[in-house]
Amino acid sequence: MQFTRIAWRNLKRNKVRTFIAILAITTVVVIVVFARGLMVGITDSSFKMYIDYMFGHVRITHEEYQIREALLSLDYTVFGFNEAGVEAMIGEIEELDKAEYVLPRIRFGAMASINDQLIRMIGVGIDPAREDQHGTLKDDIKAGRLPEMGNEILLGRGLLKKLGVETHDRITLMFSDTHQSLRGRTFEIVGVSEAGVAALDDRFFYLPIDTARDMLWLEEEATELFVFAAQTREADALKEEIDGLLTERGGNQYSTALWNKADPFVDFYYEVAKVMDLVYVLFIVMGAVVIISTLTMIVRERTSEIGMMAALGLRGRDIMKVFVLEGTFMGIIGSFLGAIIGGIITFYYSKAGIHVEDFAMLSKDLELIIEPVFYLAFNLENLIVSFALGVIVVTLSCLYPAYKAAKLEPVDALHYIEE
Amino acid sequence: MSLLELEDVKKIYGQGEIKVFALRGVDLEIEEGEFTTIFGPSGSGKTTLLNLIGALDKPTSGRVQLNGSSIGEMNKNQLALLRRQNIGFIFQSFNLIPVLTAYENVEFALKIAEKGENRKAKEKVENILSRVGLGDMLHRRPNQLSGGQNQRVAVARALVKEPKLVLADEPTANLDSEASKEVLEIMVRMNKELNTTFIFSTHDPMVMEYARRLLELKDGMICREERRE
Repeated sequence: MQFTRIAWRNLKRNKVRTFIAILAITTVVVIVVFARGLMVGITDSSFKMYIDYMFGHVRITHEEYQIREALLSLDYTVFGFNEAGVEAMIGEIEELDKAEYVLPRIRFGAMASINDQLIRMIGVGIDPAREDQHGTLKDDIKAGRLPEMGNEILLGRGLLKKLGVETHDRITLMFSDTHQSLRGRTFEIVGVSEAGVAALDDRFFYLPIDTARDMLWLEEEATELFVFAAQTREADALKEEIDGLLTERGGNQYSTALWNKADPFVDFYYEVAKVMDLVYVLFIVMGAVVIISTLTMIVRERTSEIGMMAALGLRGRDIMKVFVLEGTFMGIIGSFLGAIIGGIITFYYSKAGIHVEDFAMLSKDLELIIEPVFYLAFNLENLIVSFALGVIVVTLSCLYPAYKAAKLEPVDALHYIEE
Repeated sequence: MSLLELEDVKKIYGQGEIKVFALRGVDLEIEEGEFTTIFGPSGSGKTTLLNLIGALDKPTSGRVQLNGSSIGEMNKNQLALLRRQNIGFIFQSFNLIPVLTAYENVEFALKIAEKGENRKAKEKVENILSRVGLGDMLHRRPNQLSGGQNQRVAVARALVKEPKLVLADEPTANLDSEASKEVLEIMVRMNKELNTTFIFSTHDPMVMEYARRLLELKDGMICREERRE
């Protein structure tokens, strides 16, 4: 209690110096809160888009399809158990405990020739009823509606612009069917979608899955089944259940992939997140350097006081306590203020977002799903972790100058008075 | 048995060819309740001798025994414990903790010594501060007190844990004659009332006037001793 009192009051001995030390910690903790909010925000939204548009929580494909996926092969499809059709298989999957719903997809390559320019695109056959009930595609529709039947299509906003067409226009697209025959079909544009991601909006169009099957010479089959669990964290358990069902029902030709294991893009995010954890610590160490230098100065200034404390009978570890507590108080105040100010800034940008349209446009050629607006993640956990990180790193940093104080010989420290 | 015994104590600073002989073989015995002053010119070894007696330093050779414990054989923590329990210090520049009040400075020394329960500690601290004439200034910080008052707080701090021995290094050097006299009279009174042993190092003739035993130090040796009634 005595040491705590002394350490606390010592903060007021040189107010400007204490203010600067606290300001340094506050600044780095603000940066850490902001950076963590940004990282988590980007990761969460990118992962969500990836799950919603590209994968589901678990994706079921034919084993060979995975290898030839880049070619958008139509030769290896999901055809149900014992080729009994994919609808029955979907029904069985949806009966699994962890499965919430399944979205079947047929992806295929298509193109259009506009003013002597060949525009490549990706067609996606969707189940309109299921998409309407569960999918996120309907939320992105900015004009018109989901394609429901026949030759209706929904175009991404960017693709619409590239093709120079409007809603309700008709357009003829070319594609290869399962027999590798180049064919053409004219569609009516019934809707425009805008996910805000160039990689999707500039390249994708959607049509009813029955229409896709009809034009590609496919039967009741799909290239991919996106299976969704209630929560992302249940994806592993869901995969186990599906694997069990596939084994039980003789679906060994199909393979399952977890959303976070199938794409190097997701792994890249994870790796970056790990590196960032180290960067956060380094940031706080930078701030702690100010505390270390402040405490080193303090130890030098208070050498006579240290000698007096030793003369009173304080052991080295007691003297250490006084200085560690003093630094820790600076760490606590600085980290607290940093968490509050960082929290306010993060909260603001979690609503307003940071606009990075140019960066998102640049990234579309890399086939990365980058949103044009980053929304920071605001949560209490970020504030608590950043605060704790600040306090722990600063406290550890205080150990060295405090140790130096404790190691002073009492007689030398007292002699220092007379110099 | 004497409270303090020094036997052929030598203290040499430096290594190799450059050596400073601070003490060249001091023999000394101090009994409980003595009021002793060590005086001598600068560089005579007064502070070195006081450091050894105060268990702040160890002799190069010889034996320093305080209250039955031999200082030369103790480690840092044992020395700290010995100082905590047995020795009170009064410094030339008071050396109070500036962020604590007079009361808290004295209480701090008592708490370190781990003597007394909380309620009794409070009484003890208030009592000793009253006895040095600061009963109405308990909650003033050192910067709100005069030099003489600060030194009185230092005296109270040294005495509150009821040590066997109080060491005072030039206690009046930063005080005017009036304040010096007040502080010295308090110490004389405490010496009589509590039977606490006082050892001073000083240049100040006024301090020497109050001493009952005078030791003159010259070139690291006690060259003269005088006892007074």
